[in-house]
Amino acid sequence: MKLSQKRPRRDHTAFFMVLPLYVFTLIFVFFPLLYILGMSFLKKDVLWGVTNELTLDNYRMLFDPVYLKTFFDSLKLAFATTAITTLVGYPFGYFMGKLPPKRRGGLMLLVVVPFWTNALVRIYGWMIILRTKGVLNGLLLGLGVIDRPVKILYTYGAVLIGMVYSLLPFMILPVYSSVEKMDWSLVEASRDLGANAAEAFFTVTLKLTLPGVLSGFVLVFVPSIGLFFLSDLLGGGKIMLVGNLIKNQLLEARNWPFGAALSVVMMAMTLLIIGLYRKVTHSKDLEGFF
Amino acid sequence: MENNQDVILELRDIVKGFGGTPVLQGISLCIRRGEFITFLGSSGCGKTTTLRIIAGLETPDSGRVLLGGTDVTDTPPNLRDVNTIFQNYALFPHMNVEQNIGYSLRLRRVAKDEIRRRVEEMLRLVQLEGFGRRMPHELSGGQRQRVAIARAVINNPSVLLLDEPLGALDLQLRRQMQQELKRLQKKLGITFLYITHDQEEAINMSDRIVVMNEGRFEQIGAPAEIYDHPRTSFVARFIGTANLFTGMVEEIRDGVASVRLPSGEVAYAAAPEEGVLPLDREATFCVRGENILTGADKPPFSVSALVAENSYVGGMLRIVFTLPDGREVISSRQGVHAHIRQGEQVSLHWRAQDAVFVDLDQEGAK
Repeated sequence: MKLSQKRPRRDHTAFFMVLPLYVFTLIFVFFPLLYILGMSFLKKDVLWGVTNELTLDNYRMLFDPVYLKTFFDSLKLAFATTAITTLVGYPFGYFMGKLPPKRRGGLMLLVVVPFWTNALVRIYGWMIILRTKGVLNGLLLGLGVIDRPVKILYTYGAVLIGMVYSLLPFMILPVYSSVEKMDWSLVEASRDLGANAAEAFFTVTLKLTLPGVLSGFVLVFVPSIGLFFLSDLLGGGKIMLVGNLIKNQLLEARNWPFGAALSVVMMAMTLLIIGLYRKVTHSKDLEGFF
Repeated sequence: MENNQDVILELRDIVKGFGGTPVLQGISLCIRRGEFITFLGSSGCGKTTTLRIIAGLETPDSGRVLLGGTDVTDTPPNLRDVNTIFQNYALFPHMNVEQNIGYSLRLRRVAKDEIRRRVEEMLRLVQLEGFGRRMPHELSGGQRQRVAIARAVINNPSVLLLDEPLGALDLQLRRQMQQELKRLQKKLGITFLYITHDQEEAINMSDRIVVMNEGRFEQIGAPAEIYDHPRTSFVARFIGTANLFTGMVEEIRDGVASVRLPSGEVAYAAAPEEGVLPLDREATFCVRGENILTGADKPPFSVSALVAENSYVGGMLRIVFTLPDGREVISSRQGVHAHIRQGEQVSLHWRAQDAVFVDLDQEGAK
């Protein structure tokens, strides 16, 4: 504290330079969050909006078995998504990181290109593939794997496919980033000391690329709770996730305070996960992104 | 040539290239059990590649590697009875000192008590008692070096490969570690294959030195042999101060060759015991700086020179002479030589046995 009183002058310039950033964050992030938090403690008005009566009813309502089930389903899907993206994304990121730098570019492009297209458009693409008379069924019928079209679209599986597809890059990129930073002489040392290829991978490579994997966990798990349009489009509205619930409460049921309470709980979950990540990795940054 | 039982490691005609660039051009060598052998050469000469081939981290394009009489050319590194100390130590950053040292024992599923006992023993050997719980990043360079040594020798490998292990340390620590490595090698009786580009290090520590240049072995021999009898001008220049003279061989008598220098003066050099020295052909010989003599009453021959520079370097007097043709002769000697002044005209000579012919065609050898 004593030190800050003797701050050199140029610190003031630095302060004014970053001021717009603070103002922006205050207006567009902090106040809206505060607004949501405040609203979650207010009582719903008859038609829409809120009264100025304070209550904890919105949070009490969360313990209704119907809503608890939604949370449970949502978490289950998020875990499944995270598990599958890890199983697919780790090998992908690993081999991309081990490629000679010249040949990485093309693969990186393949991973990043989908981001240049609207997510909705890409999901409509998946609907065409997964439809009962769609591309995938046509292919399976043609190959003789099945003799009758299988219902894929509007099932839990379709939502899972959509989730994995949308979030895979968020696993690949941090894994790639940590693999690329690997000091491979450590793997050589491990082999030299008697480890076979698998032992070297599990005792050295995996341990040292774990920050990337954990970062991927966070980056996949957190959004997978909230991607409501995926379950709307691919699940046909039958699969209710926390994200859908919030959307419904705000737009259809017009119960803003309850929607706000749901948002606050989801945010708390997110913070908890990021907190856990920091605790485990002793790092403030998410590997590969920030 | 050597007793087979004594040979722990043999390289047979190893060839290796990277992307069309030859790195090793057919090298062969037998290393004896318990020997301290050093590969000496500048960077890019192929010494690290040789070491990696022995460790199994690289496969030769052709040639065989024999370890204790068994062909291990296609054996993966984990099944070779060889351990390496890497240039950057390659300590596992996510394991503490104990875990690093005990790593190979854990892989072999040695009992926990046994591991603890042997790790303790290793820590004592490298004088790091009490450091077992530290993480590698909490150690100094010298301490990390010791951990790397302990980790590599805990398994008692038949050959220990050391890839410029002291390169990252400062001079004083390096000298100290040289002594320690030497002591360790004697104590453990492990064959050390040491890589360095530092000639002093090589001379201080080795039983034998292998001088490498452009993927070939220039000369293999004991430090004194390499110093006193360099076989090529490369070796002569690489180790110690070498003064190379080229002239016409005029006469060979009683083991002494008379060579006419470009200045017209005749100098003496030892006739070689092996190799061919043709008469009336140009030949090059080497005289070490400390063997250049001045100011004798009746020298057997003399080469006139000018004293160009006269300075003390590390307690030694270093004198640079210039020959009439502009070439320099560097001499170093101990003690004060007040009678040699800069700008003075002197005559140089040397004992014939101190002048050794280099770059001769080797008859049958190599």
